[in-house]
Amino acid sequence: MPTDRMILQADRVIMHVDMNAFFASVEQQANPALRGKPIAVTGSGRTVITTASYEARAWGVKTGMNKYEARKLCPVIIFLNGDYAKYADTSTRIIAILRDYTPMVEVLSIDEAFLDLTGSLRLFGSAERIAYLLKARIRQAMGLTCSIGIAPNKLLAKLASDMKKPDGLTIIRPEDLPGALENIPVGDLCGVGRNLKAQIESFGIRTCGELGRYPVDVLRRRFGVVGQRLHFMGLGIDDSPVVPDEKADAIKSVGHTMTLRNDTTDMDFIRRQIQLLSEMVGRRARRAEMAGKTVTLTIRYADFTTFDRQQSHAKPTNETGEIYLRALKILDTLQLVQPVRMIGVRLSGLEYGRTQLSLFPEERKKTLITEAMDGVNNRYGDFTVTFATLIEAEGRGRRVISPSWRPDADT
Amino acid sequence: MKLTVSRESLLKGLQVIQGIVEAKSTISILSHMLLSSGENGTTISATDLEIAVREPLEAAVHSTGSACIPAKKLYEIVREINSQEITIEQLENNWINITGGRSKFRLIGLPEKDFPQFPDISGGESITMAASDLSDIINKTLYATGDNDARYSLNGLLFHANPSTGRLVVVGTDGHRLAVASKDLAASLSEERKVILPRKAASEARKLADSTANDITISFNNNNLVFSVDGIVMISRLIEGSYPNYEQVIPRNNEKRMKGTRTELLGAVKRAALVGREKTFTVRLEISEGLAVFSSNNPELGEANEPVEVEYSGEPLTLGFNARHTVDLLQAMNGEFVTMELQDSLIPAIIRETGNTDYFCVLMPMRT
Repeated sequence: MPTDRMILQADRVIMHVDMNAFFASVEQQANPALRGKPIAVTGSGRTVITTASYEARAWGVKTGMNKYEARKLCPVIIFLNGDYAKYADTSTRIIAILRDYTPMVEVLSIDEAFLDLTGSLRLFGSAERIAYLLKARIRQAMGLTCSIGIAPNKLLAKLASDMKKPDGLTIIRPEDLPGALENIPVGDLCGVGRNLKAQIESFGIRTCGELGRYPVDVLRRRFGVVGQRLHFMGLGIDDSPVVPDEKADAIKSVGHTMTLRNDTTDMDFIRRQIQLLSEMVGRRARRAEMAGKTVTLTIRYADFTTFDRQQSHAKPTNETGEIYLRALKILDTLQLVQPVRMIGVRLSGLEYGRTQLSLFPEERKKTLITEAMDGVNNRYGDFTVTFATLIEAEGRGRRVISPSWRPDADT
Repeated sequence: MKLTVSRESLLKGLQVIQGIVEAKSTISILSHMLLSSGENGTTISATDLEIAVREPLEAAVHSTGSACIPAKKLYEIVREINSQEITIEQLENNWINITGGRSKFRLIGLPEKDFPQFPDISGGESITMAASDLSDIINKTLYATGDNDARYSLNGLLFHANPSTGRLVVVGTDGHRLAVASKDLAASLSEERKVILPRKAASEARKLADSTANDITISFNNNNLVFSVDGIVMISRLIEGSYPNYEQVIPRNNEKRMKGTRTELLGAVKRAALVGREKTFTVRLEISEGLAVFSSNNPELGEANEPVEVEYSGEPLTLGFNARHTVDLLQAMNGEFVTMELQDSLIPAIIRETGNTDYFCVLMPMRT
């Protein structure tokens, strides 16, 4: 990243909206009997907690714990199976509200979004005013609370929204820099994961303040371009733009993973799940009018060992059957040594392209059938019409929310 | 083995095999060639296990024998060496001496007995055609074949020799476009033959045809196709499996005809594609009385509009075409005019060189 591009644009106003305990709060709104009680939402059929309500968090319950651990900490906890259709719907409605204030909305995940308000201030006064308007409208329409961060860039806005939860509003002004970051641990920075954090800490750097003051040459030598970026992050500088919709930044791959209800060695079952995932991936690719050359199959064993294998073909595809066949070809090369816990299918090497009908009548029919199925499923919901083999598959119709979830792609 | 050859003839011989020898093969012997001198003269052979080629080499033989030499390296040496004559000598432990002028090379060879045996090429019926005809027929069909397609039979050219019509028909298709070229059969075959020649072999056969002015003999030998000319023999395995029924995809009721100048249409498509969305290559074709307009648009770039005067009378018609496919086929043609036979936007189009009944293409439109 060239230095001259990294100019602090003090005139930008970026907002980060983070819904508080989103899945749990949606459930509490849907069922008043759950309000004020410690509840936890789990992935369906699994025991891992995806979201705990603030009441449960007070007992020490955290995301990623299993039911057993949670009950030990909080004997009165109520578990709920995740209802992803409900969350996706709620999220879509929230994003519609955000779009009333600016078209520059970048949906980060199902419960987070960035807004570039720079151009909206003239209309609405101040960012602070927009924040209060947003909070009021979301609370009124859905009974949900969110934490909002306002800052000159995305990095700081995200840090800010994290500072006060639930129902917080934190503003970092350009003049607050660099002091505002002085004591923030580097691990809190968006993009610094556990591994990177450990590596940075091995330099004796613990806080953003220290990171910003550290000689940039040393960082660059150790981390390459990331080192340069880390330096700027330590100083609170980030010029990455808010990218409003998926198409502006062409997607590079589509993938789905699925954790099975029970670990299995049943190859027929595994193949069926791969077919299901292929259909989900194919449908997403077709909707984006993309086709990919590379299919990747990911397998996670019972002991969490995870690996993936990929194969590329000259001809890009987005047809469920073809993705399935390619994934099976990869599966054939594998010797599974443990029960399988999770399976993933990914299509990458994407090219934009409308499907060209085949000259051969049988193949033309296949494409037209796929299109007809997509048409029905777009209208009446996923898997309304599907392959007979998938009727027995697990997780059919279960909405799995991936990090790349987008409101437009799912409705 | 020891022999002396002219640099020129050795270079020519080595050029022929470069496309067949696999430089990166995991089987190291396949990156080698076999040079052998015996009672039947001196020959160079090479193979990738699908294609095998053997060619004569004029040489002054000092002692007979065979040597297995890295083919690419020898080619590079011969290309650069500064001498009209080159001497190649096989030493102990497969060492090979190459000398020419003041240059001396010593290469590590492989044991000649490990080199794959040359396939038996005797037997089978043959047809003969002018080298330029073979080159032309491959040139007009090869671009349309599949590349690495899961439907293996599409990764090659169909050679369909039909004694009852007296024609050799060569077909290439990747499922979206189809090219059909034919010539008269210059020999009578006892039965109809339909074989699929792999893409690479077809390309090598074209190269072989381009290197000579003599007639080429094509023999149907078991599961192989053998091309022979000027003492050079190239044998290729065939793709097993059945080729799709190509006649079935040729539309019969395309009654709308548009005739235009080939180079004008080609230029218009190429230019219209410049602002098309990268990688989709879809151009729109609007035909009305006397005028064809190729256009494309891209929300991020803008639009292009390319009108071409054509002969057309009939209902106006709008279709989409894959620009790359259209360019490929217009480039493979060489007549002054082309005729497009159309029906509607979802029916394949037939494109012909006007007046040439030996060649046509079928192109599936893109949906616009």
